[in-house]
Amino acid sequence: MNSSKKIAQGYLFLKPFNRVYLPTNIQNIIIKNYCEQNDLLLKLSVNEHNIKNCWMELFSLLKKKDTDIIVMMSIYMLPDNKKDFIKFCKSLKKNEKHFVFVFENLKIKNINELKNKMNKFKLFKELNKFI
Amino acid sequence: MKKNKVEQDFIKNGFIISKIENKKNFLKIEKKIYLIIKKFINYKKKSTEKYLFNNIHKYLDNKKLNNLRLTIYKKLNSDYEFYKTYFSLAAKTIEKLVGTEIAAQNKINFSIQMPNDNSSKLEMHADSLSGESKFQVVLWVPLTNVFKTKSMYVFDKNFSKKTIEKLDKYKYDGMDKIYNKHKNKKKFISVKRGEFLLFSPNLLHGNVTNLTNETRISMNSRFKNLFSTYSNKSQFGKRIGYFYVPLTIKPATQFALNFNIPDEF
Repeated sequence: MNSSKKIAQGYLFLKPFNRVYLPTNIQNIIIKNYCEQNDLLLKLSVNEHNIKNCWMELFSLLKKKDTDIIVMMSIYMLPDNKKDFIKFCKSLKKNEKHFVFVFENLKIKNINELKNKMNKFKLFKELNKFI
Repeated sequence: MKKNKVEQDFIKNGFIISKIENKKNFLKIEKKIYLIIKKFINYKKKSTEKYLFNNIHKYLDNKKLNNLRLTIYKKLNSDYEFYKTYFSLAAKTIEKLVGTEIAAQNKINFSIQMPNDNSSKLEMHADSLSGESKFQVVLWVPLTNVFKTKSMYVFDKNFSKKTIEKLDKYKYDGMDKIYNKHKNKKKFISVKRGEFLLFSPNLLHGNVTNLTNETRISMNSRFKNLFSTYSNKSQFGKRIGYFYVPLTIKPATQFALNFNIPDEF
């Protein structure tokens, strides 16, 4: 195994995100393709539970010491309510992880960057409701 | 097993282990996988299926493991009706557990767990939490004897039920916290080659790094009653036509499908 490669873990979402629904096998193919193109070592992806306001598997991933990067389809898969997002940020601060959001073509390396992008994409979501 | 023993055991434990019902089909699948693996690793020696399956790690680089798994998956599932052959391995038992009108997962999955490989770990989960019907059964068939860390583990019915019901307690901790707190309660299931395991998707289960010196190859797929509910929250992913395919439709159902009874005028 090439130890210089960064270890990525795929995160699959069964619920719609920003009005998009994508079957998990398709999400998996896209994540695999992304990791191959970017020379990342992909570990088996995890499915988030199909429960409203539940990001349990994401919270587990944040704590994983053997994972460098979490790859998911979209920034809109992250907690979208204030309380859960604050908890998520606290956990991310403790457990530094990089994020890749394939649809938005974003690579996030720290929490401030993530907060900025989250605000920006929240605004886009609102705008999209009117146009 | 005596009549009704299967039903009783499943209700009590959420899983059963029994002998493969169609040995001919089992051997056919085994042979096909053996030949695919031989070709993939360019293995020229004569050996038994048992030897090669248990010792793949001696001939295969870890980096190629997923490619091999996908090659087996694609080749076997290229037969569109492979799910029927797979079903035959436990048909009578599945019918006892879910009924005779059945929906089957349209693809059969393959797992290869080589010794000390961390990349193939599937951590504690319940399929019913991930958008699959809680009424299905999972048919898990190993091609090698499996035991201890070479196998999968399950948590018992009571623990799984209580944990799932109180899952919100662990909302910000994740499944790892539950697993780490209770990992001593898990039980590795021993299944011999030539046997199958049928288990409920509501049992918490998973696998750990295989610490034995043998590789495990296993297949898994899901079967449910055609008319039990599918995942109520998933519109596309785990429904007929996407994830499941009807395996058996009885004449009364087939006939009735031609009639549209009006709901209102």
